[in-house]
Amino acid sequence: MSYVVSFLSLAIKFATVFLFGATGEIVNQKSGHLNMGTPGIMYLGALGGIVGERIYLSSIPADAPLNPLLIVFIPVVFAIIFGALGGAIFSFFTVTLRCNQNVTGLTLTTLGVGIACYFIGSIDTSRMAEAGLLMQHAFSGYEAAGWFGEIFLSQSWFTYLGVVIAILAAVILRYTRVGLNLRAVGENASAADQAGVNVSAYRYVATIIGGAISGIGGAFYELDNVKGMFNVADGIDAFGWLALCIVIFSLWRPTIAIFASFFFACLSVAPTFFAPYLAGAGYVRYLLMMVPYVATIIVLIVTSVVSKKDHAPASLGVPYFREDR
Amino acid sequence: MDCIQLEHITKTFGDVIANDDVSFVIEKGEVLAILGENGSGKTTLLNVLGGIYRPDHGKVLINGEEATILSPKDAYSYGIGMVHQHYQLVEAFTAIENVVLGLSRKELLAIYDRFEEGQEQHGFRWCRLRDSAKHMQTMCERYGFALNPKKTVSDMSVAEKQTLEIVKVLFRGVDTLILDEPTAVLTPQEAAHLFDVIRNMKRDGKTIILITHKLNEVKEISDRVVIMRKGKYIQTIPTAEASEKSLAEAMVGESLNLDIPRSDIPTTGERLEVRGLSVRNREGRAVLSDVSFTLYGSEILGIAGVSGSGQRELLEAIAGLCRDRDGDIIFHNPKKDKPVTFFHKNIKQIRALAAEGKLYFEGGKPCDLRHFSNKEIADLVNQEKILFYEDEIVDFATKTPLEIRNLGAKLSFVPEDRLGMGLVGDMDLIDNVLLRSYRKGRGKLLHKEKSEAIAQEIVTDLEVATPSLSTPVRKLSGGNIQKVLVGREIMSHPKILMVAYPVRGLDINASYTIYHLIDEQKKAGTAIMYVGEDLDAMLGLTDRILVLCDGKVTGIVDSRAVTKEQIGLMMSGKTYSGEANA
Amino acid sequence: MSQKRSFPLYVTKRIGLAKWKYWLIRVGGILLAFLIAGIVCTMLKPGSFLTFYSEMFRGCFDFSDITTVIDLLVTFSILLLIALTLTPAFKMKFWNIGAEGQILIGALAAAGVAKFAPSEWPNILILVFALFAAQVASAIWCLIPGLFRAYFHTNETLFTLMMNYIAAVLASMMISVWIPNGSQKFGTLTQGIFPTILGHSGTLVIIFTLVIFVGMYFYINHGKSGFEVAVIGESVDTARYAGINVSHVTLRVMTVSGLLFGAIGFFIVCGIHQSFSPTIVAGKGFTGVLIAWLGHFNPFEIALFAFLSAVMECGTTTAATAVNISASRFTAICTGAFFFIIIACEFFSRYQVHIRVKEKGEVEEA
Repeated sequence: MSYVVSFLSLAIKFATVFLFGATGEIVNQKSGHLNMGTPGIMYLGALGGIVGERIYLSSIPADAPLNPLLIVFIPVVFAIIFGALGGAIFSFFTVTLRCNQNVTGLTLTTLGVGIACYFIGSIDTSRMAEAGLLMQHAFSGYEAAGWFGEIFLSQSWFTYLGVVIAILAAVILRYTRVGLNLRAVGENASAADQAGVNVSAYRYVATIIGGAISGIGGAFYELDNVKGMFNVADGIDAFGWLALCIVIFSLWRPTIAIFASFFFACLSVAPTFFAPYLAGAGYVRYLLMMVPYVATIIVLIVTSVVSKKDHAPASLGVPYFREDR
Repeated sequence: MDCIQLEHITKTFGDVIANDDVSFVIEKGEVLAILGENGSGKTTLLNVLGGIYRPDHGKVLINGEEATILSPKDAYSYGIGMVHQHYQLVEAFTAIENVVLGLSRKELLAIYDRFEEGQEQHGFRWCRLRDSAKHMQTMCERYGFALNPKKTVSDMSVAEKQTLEIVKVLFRGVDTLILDEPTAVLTPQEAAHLFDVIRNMKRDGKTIILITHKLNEVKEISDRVVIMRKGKYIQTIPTAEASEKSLAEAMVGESLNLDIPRSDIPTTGERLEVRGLSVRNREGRAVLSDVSFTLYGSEILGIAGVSGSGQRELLEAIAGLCRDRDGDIIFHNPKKDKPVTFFHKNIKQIRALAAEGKLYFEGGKPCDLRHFSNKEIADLVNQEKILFYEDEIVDFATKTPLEIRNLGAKLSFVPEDRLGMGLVGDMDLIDNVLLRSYRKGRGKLLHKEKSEAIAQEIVTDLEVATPSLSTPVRKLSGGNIQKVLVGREIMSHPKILMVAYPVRGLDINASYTIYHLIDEQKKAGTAIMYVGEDLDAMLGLTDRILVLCDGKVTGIVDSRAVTKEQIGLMMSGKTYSGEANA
Repeated sequence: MSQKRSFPLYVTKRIGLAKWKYWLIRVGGILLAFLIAGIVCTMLKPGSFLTFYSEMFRGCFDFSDITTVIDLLVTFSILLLIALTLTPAFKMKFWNIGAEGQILIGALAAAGVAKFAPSEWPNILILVFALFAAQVASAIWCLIPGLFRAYFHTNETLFTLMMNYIAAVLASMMISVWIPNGSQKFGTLTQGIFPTILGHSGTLVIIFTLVIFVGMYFYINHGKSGFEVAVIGESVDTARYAGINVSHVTLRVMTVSGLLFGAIGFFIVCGIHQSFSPTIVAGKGFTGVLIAWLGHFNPFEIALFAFLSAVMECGTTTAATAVNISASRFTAICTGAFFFIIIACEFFSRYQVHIRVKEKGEVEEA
């Protein structure tokens, strides 16, 4: 029982990274931007998070107690700025310079990974482990609520923020005029333009906001790394790509993305979680490590075979230039 | 005075001058027709007014003041709205979502004020979809539109989509409405209804600008006509003072012979027999159901119908491009008393045919090849000494396009989407000719010599205006692109020629060249299927017309004995009793 | 009506740009990219601006040590091969971004054969077997997404991407199986290796690359299969109407890709590194994607960009080491910046920016 509880708790924590990435990418894709720079943007967000935390830690006396809210708030602000910057670069190239989205995205990923890894490696990590421990749980006393508390109330602020953002994104997309306009831009940019929607502005803003959201995911992964490997940012790119798949899996709906992220998180957490119990059979651990990727492929295949209707925004990946008609 | 003035508008695309120093005045409350051939720059010009294009030079004056129209939104703010030929609707949205798209709360409230004139406003005002829907319905009733606000666009018919476009523009309270070729895809009845709507709007004080190349429409609805030719403004005439002939000559710039050719020659036997053909699209929906007809040699069969009634699918099914289909498509290859050739049969197949007793020697002796060596057979075939008893029967229904071609069936298809299906826009003329024959020749490399010769022949015979054979076809004008495509298909001497919308987007002279080419093919014995949208041209060119409505045949009639109105009724689903017997 | 303020810049499509102007823009972009790499280096290590360029030059064209030049050419060869291999697939709009994994799996197979082949076999036989195994493995890795794309229209971009990760895990797993001591170090190959020529084991790779380049040039530009690929890329409907079986061509192209990627993996393991690790492809699969794209699928342009990327990679590595900053990260930053600038150049060659001046006249600028 306690295994199950701690497994689920860990999975939810992990799902948070996916959820931020996927929600950000959904906002991107709803505007017609297939942003393959998301892994790079998540890396930039991770760098932002670390930079933010360093700035906070350096601003207080070396032995002063850490403020549990500020150690979350300041990194989030920086992650948002860095992620948004990534989104802004992407939209500058695809909207203003009308470059190919795939190429821009891949280049952004290369650049983002390079920059983030370079600088993260050179940042002083003192007291970060302490901060990481402190931001583990948003609420103290969650143990009182039994298994429910262990699973659902033991999470950090990031997790709750992720769910709130996802739901907010869903509501805005579905029920507001802004959401309607944004969806129209992704479905048929030319029609939206005709109707008076500023296509470029919507794409810019959506991509920047999407980048900011994805960035928080990267920051969370980096900061929550309590094992102390703060100067290594490894594997965030894999989370970024998986987030892209979660978008397809959740049919471009942030609310479904919440559950899809959890599902993929379970698959991703399983190998590390079960590794200690599988001592002796070395290669089983590797097979487990493949599971999330294999699952993604199966998801891709199943969606392509089963679904006759394409849920993707109709002009996803298509650039828009008014005089191009 | 209330008016819109266009002054010295010039717009170029690279070296192409789409509008050259165009100036004229649009009066308030009139129906102004902009008449010009395809490619005369009328759409480009009105796109400048609608905020799509930015002119290189010149300006727009509205009520005497210079107006800056940089986007469609700016155009709306000046009360100008445009309905494009290609509808600008979000397919996944409902009608009302499309209508309110892009409007801010402030703009919506201003629109509501218009509808709620005189009503007291209390407290917070909602701009919910259902409020907008209510107002939209009010407006629909006023002009006589039938439109369900909650219907999704992808479920709408073409006419409904057009209505929605007009509603969308009117909802924003425009007083100048630009309609770009609005009747191109409508049945005659729907077009008549549209004209009623235009009259209603005019009575309501709206200005309507109608872009068209159809003379009868100009005469029927407009107050004045602006004539454009090759990007230049030619003249403005009050409609009452013009005749169709004078308009046509002003539009083309020379006197014209507007007679569509139709050679009256006897047909030459069955070519294609379609029985119970049903086709489903990718989503599994039936797009053609139970279509049956027979096509004869030296005959042009017109296929009429509202766009999207299954014309495209019918031709694609015959060409082997639709996979999900039932029914028989039987091709009669006119081989009776013709020699066997190696063009589409190899020695093995010839032996098999001989064994089935389908061949005879010159002189009438039955052909038994069992005791002949391959070399002897090859000699006999090359000397054309072995002949067919009967026409060859091939069932297309089970074949892929490649198999159909390998059978030597000589089926040619000029698809409606010239650059998306017929030709490759970024490839040059030679490569596009090569597309039909690139597999020929030994080895893995391409052999271009023959294609080059054919391309040269097309350019010379059909007078294609191109800088060279190595120009990408995308850079040619619509008429020349079509000549290349039709030319390539005709050069293969087809037994069956299928043409879909062959004159769409072509100027009048190019259109008549194409009509003549098609008639020439008919004289050469080809069986022709012709899909078109201009019913007048179809009635003049074809021998029989098959009318489709929602994928079903509503009648096959004799073109010489039917009227446009009767066809129109059949297009909207009414079956017609006067079946033609050809 | 109130007078609206218009944005002072606007853009129109450029048609018929002269060839020399186009290349002027590109060359300008390339120079700018190298300038920016220097500036980045100076920002990371103040005062290293000139050192950066001299070291970069030394890292590429140090003719006193011929192996430096061969290193550059080998890097160039591998990038060129990857981009060329990707070209047919890209031309038919099959977005294969799984080159990384497809090469790795070939490399893994080659490494396995080279390590465990009976030592009494002659070296050449081991090499042939290693190549064969690598090609089979890579072809399978390419055909899996190819099959699903051909018959179910499965999104190949994410599919091939995920296959990269599976390949990486598989590589780690095989190492742990082959080297049971848990060190995860494959060690150096002692058999099944290329001969050392001119002091470099990769020299032969350069020669093979030349041969493959010629072959691919004819395949892409003059072959029937290349013609089919080009038609499909332009319009699937046109292709189908011309009787081209799109699914078959997809499979054929992916098979060809697999065979070539296998060869590349084999070159890397048996030729260049004579060793194996799960990160042996080192991101070149992704760089290859960008090169193929920026080279407009033209073999000669691809060669140019492959060369520039190789200069960037070898040069920045040497320069970073010289000024004592993390080489691999710095190279990634420079490569990213390099490609961003080149793709920005594409914009200026396809579009024209105009400046709207307050008066009625307009000033144009390239």
